[in-house]
Amino acid sequence: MGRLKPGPGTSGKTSLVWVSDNNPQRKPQIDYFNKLYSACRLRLDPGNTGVQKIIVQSCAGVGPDIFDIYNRSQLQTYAEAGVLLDVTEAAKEHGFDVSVTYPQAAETISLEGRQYGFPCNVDVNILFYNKNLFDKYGVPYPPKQPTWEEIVALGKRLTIRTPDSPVAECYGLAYAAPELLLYQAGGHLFSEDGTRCVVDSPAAIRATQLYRDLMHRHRITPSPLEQASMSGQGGWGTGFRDWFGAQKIAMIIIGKWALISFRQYIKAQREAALAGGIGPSVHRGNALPPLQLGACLLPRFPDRPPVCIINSRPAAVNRLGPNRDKAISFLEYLASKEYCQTINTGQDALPGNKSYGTVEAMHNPEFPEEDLFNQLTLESTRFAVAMEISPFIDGETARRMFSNQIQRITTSPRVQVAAALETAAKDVNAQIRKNVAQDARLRTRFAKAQKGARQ
Amino acid sequence: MSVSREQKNVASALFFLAPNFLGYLAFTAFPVLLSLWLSLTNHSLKPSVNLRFTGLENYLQLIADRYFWFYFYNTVYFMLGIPIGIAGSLGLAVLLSKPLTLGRGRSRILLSAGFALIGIVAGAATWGSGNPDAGLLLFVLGFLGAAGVLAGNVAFRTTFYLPHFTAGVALIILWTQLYNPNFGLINVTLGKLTGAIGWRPELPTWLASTESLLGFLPLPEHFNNGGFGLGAREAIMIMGIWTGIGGNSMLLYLAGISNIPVELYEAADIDGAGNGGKFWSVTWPQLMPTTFFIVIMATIGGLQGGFEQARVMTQGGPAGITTTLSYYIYTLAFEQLNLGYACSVAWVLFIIIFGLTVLNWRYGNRYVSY
Repeated sequence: MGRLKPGPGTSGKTSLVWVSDNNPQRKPQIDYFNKLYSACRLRLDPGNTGVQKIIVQSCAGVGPDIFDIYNRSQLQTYAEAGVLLDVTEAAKEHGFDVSVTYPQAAETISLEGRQYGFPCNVDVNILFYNKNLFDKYGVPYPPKQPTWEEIVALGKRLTIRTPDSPVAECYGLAYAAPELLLYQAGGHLFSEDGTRCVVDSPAAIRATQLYRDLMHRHRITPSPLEQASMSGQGGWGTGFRDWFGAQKIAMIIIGKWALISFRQYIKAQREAALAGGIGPSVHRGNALPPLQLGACLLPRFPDRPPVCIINSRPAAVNRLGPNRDKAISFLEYLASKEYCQTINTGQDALPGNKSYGTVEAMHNPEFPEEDLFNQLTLESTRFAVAMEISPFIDGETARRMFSNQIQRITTSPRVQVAAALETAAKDVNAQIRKNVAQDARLRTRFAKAQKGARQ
Repeated sequence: MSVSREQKNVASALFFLAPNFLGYLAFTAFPVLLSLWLSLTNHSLKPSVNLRFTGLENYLQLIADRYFWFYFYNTVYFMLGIPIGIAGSLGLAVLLSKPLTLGRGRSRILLSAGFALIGIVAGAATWGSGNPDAGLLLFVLGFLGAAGVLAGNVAFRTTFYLPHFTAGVALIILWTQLYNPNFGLINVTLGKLTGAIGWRPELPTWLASTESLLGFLPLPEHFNNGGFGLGAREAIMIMGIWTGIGGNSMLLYLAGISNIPVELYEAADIDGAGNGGKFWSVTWPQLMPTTFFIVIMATIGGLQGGFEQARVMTQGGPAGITTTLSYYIYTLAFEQLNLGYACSVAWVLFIIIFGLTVLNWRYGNRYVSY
């Protein structure tokens, strides 16, 4: 009789399925694992990524053994769906507990003190800039720790618009996520006890106003309309990373994992320059030299301390899978030197094990200029915060309600920021009340949290 | 006791029907009844939520669910394109039902080659003048004309039906490009046409806009009404009309037209009826059963539709204005894991569809003569 899921192969090894993206780095990572853990045969399944697929497949008994989680909302959704194996004890036993990773990343792999995975990599954003564009337009490079005022001033000088084109020839800054600005301005998504959404606070309004101003007042970041136009323009590619690589954007907030693409851009642009081609990097009729990168810490509000968001891509073990014990070995492997070296060599953000996330360990003799980016990334982890979640509402639902209002703000000039954020908070709070009313466990918890807040 | 021939026949009929019937029970009847039961519970994929019978609680909650009404409005809004789609299908079917013969023998080949040549020259010139999309379109039109001369109506019927058997996602990607506010073929063409008469209006931003043609209505705030204009809803509606015009409705009308007795047209001719008279007095009444069927199917399809576009083209945005009930059911069930509530929305949707279909039968049937 045919099987729905691969069982032990003829070699007697335990077959493990890992749902992750099809990054070229996966091959050496899988090869190392299969070499180190000879009783297992790990294989990649890139076709089944997606929260819905994994939950439904797992509930039906045909889920993967290991899967990647891309943000805290997903972690919460998986945990609530009961498909995450609690590995708190196993992690201590096998040496991959939360103390092994960066303290700020601990929240991205655990919920309410229980650990559910270990990071495949850890990511914080820094500000990359294109030195060619700064040089060409005679603009000084940003300082190591710029303020938003400074970035706006630089961005205005670097945004080059021509009357005959609906999109700028060059934009000062790619994009600043509203959530990042929210935290930087001292705002929060939820109250401390998670019982209320507070995106209508004065700090949140200040942050969202800046988000809108960057697009519509200062006009240094492309508006959604301009983004749509840029995607349809030949030679530009799609997305901020491509536009930055094509030297159409001077500054970009992104993690050092983007160096994987930037290296390819630099290589292609060097080859094009040698072959006499000019590629897409033409400004005012002149070809630019191949991309030259600089970087600094993320901008901050002048009256606020620096803040950035930390994210990780933890791998988790399927609680409903048949090979849980063997799959735990994979999490152990993620904390190993061998695995972390593959992350460092490939520049795929920071390794999950902080012992290997040092400037020395990340140094690549082939790309010595990247030491600066590694150093800034490590420095940023010190003031990083994890995205907030509330136990009373699914993160994806809250995010959808928040981004609905953000979309209103960016698409319609008539919409007032304060009013839109008030609607977002009202929507999320209504959903929280609904969830609490439906779930007895949440009800108890909600009452307890409110009582605690009153005391 | 001997088994009669009739009993044998019944036994063999049951034997052959059993696989289908069992399949229907297992994969249709059982899930449908299960979903009805689930809609009366708080069933969630979250293990922390204990299954509890909640009676009509989900349905009562749904009445007060502001988002349900917003998404219902979106769904109905998209359906406003249905009459245009049906009228287009009928017009196309009438055109394509007429025999098309342009020239004979060598003159036909020459005419066809002429069309192809015009397409190549005009296409290349337009492409060369910096408008590759419009150039490609002229090129395709030239070749379509050439194929039409050679193969007659078959070429056009195939062309118009083409969108119907093309993968939906591919069409959506194509239309997303067409709707590009600054470089898409639609706005480029509109810009050129309006520019030619010296008028420079602000062109629609299509998928990035929350405006709509009913944007002047005083809608509740959570309907995210962006004012009067052409926005994402219209963009999706136009795409739906384009896909629908040449689809199954056109084929049904073509079949219906071919079944109209020629004697009726001959009698109309004798009575001195012109083309318009023949259409309104013969074709239209004779096609009533077909129209009735198409209206019912389109209404059902419209109420169930919008998922693919919302998922691939807009993710339900901007600001939720392209989220339809079917996409809402999906997000409730598979993002919020709230299967009980999602089932109740699905059942309300079913009741709406059923109610409208009954109304159609009750009142639409009056105008149908068989």
